[in-house]
Amino acid sequence: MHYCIGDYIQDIVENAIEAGSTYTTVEVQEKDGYLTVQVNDTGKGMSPEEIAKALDPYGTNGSKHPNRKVGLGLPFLAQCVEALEGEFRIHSEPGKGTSVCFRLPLTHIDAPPIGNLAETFRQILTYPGTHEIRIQRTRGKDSYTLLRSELWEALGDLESVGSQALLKEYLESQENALVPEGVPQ
Amino acid sequence: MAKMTLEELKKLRETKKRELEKREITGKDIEIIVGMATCGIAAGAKQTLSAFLNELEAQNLSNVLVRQTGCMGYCYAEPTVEIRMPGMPDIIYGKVDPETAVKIVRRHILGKVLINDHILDKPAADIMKK
Repeated sequence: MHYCIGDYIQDIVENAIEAGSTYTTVEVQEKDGYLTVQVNDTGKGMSPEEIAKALDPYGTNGSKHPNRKVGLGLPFLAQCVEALEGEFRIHSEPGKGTSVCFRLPLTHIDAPPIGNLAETFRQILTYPGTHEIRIQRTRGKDSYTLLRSELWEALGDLESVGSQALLKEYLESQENALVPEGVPQ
Repeated sequence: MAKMTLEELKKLRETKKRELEKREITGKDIEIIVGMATCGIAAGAKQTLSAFLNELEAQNLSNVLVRQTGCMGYCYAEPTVEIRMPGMPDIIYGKVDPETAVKIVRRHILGKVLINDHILDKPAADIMKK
């Protein structure tokens, strides 16, 4: 179930990695009361029919969860964006990759909380594999960039409990250093 | 919280790795066993343990194993610390504050001299089987 925006982001990135993406970029920008998220991947891509199926709650290709009759990741996101009068775009080309973008007003009374993005990024970055992930996080004029390969090099691995604890500490320091919007810099 | 750089993350990893190595048991012939039961912790055993780890780091001693144990039965003399090393009798020291911990490393472990003011007992021979 999706409780916060971080859950949606994690879902999209998980889809990208499962689609065989070797280079995934994630941009999360908070500006003027809006949150914009863009995820681009180099996975296997989807045809227009497959995109329609991905947006249908009762549509699933059965590969990820063989016994499940529903696929709710993107439909939940599309529904949430629609309820908040935000924007949602998905573009995909078979063999080239997929790009998912959404924009939400954070001040809307029904907007879900952003959630703990440091924890979301930690989970995204520690999916097993040799793929690259680049995360660009911006709030107002502040920003930071994370590159999975750089973090891997600094920590030696991303899977051990020790590395994950250090990674969490690092990500929290990045996230907490962002100046809240509306505070004079 | 200040923003951490990748260099700082690397350094932090190295520091934590060295701390973990102190708990590694292979290739170590000196043991420092700190009583960390409620009585010990209440009397400051955590600070004593940190003092040992810091002093071992400062003296660059890599053949020393630091272990935690429960109550040794000397609650009136906590924090208690047992030292085992070749060439010295096994000793339990009592009332080991951080300052005494530093003394133990410098005088007992490095200088092979007992710290008479803090000697409490020797480990019970009947249950200590080698």
